[in-house]
Amino acid sequence: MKKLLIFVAIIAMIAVPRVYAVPVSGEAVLDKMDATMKAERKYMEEEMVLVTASGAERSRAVAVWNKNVGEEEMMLVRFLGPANVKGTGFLMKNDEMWLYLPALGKVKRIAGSAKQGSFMGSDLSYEDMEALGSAGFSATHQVKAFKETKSEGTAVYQLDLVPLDPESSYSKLEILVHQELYLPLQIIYHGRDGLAMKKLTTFEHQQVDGRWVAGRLQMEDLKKGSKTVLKVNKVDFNPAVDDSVFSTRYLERGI
Amino acid sequence: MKIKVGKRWITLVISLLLPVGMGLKTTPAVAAGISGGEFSLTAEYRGEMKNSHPRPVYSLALKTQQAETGVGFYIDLNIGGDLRQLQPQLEIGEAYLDFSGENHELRIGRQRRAWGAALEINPTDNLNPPNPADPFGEKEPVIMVAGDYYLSNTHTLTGVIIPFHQPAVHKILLPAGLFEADPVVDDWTNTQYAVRISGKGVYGWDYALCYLRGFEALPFVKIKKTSTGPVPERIYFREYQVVGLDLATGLGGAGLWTEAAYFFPREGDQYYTAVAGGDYKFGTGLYLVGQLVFKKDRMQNKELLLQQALELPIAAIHSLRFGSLYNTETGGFMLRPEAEISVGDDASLTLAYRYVDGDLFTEMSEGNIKGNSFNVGLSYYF
Repeated sequence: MKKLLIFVAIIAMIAVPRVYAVPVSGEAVLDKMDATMKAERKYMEEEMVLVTASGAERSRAVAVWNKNVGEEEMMLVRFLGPANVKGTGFLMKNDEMWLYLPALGKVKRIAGSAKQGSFMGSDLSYEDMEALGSAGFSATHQVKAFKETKSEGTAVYQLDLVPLDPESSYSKLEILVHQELYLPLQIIYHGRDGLAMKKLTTFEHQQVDGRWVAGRLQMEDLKKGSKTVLKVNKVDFNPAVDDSVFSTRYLERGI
Repeated sequence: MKIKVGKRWITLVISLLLPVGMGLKTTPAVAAGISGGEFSLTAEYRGEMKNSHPRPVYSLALKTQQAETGVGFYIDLNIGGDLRQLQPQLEIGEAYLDFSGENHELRIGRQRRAWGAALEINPTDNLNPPNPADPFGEKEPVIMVAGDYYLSNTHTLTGVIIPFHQPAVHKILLPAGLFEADPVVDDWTNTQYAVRISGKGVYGWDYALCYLRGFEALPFVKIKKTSTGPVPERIYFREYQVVGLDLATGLGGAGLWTEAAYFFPREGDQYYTAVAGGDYKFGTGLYLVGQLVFKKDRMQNKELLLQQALELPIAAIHSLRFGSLYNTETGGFMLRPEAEISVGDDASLTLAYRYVDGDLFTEMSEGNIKGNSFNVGLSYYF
């Protein structure tokens, strides 16, 4: 009997934390996913490869600084290559955006409508970059459906999200979240017409500073047939930069 | 600043820059090597060339720059000309030293400073003279000392001193022939200077206020009335003061701007230029710009110009552009369709056509482009 009690106690010690670790709702899954991906400050160096529907490839190297605290969303992007776009800078502070083109030699405010379009000619929009970069999904989306399932042999949570912003380009997001890493493995973005519009797939998951990150992301435009591959070469979740970096003076001066 | 040079000069320049660009040890003065550049081949056809082949033009731009904490330098050299003649011209573009601190920057040397929020026609941008061959393009660099003091993350105070006057053109075409204008005497009392205060992201607005005391970039013809009629008394560059303002903001997804400058010449009548415009980018990537230019020119003619531009990305890596300008006073207009085809990460092919009919401006000396042209250019960036 004593042996049986010890056996039950050991089983309980192993099993109970697992039971409590499993989120019981879609909202909890989304919060855990955001906790993994979101950062108040983040610095990334990425290679962005644009692949057209005909298979032509163009590569760009970018450095991206993000800040996301409370209502404040800021992003500074600097093009590191190729030579014809090197030095181009882009700053977004909430709804305001500025572009610095070295050939023009000045910072130019750009129309807010640009936020609805493609991010620097890629298949990602500014909205996608914000959510994936630092803002996360829980503050801007509502969970409409949640279930546990398997995707290619991996246990995942499947969530259907609806954007809270009526101006969003999407009507629904279908996300598959890895049950252990709490990273999105796949996101299918549905357009305002309800049809699948874009598909994001993440690869090469790895730990950086104790956090799981995707080393490679691929966004496919399901209508146009083009895709953009983002290869993350460097991530820093605590970059030593202050708020002044997110100002137009740094667009011109560089960091 | 164009200088005709022999092969020896070019060999010297390249031999100084190339080895260090390849990482070989050398003196600190040239330690930066070539940090980038562009080589382009262009076939240029102008309407007056009739049945001739397009003129083959080549251009090699070499940039070298180095910066370390607090100090840096930048130089760009352009070598180019007609590919058939191989008598290249060496043109020094910008060449300056930078000194920077936490809240300030000082740039000394030959440089460009671009001011204004409007598209291509910037009435507040009077520090650098326009290029008469391309009045809508990049302006000519001049020697200046320019300092920026960052009052905060949003506000900047700028001061500029230009010791030597550099006009856009030295000569002017009058009915009696081509006349050279009297140059501005190199005297410290003729030093040009400007100040500007600008703010970005101030309650949703970008703004700038500026003041310039200097000399006009284009010659002015002072007319003397005689019994036989008016005759040119003096052709010179007038001293003037300029007060300018520009504003930009966003409204309902559209970008909006206005820019205006009032010119106070020491002799003669005052004049002004005011611009108002907006832009919008659609979800498809189509980018539209529209602009109105209202001006009273130096001869006191009033004119209204309508300017438009659009850009449409094709398959994410190519783009089509179309620009137009129409002068309601003269009836003159210009159409500029252009296609840019990406042929690699570092190379692009550009096809551009320019159609001009009539006078684009009421004042003849103000960049009235004549004739139509077609250009095919292949550029490689490194």
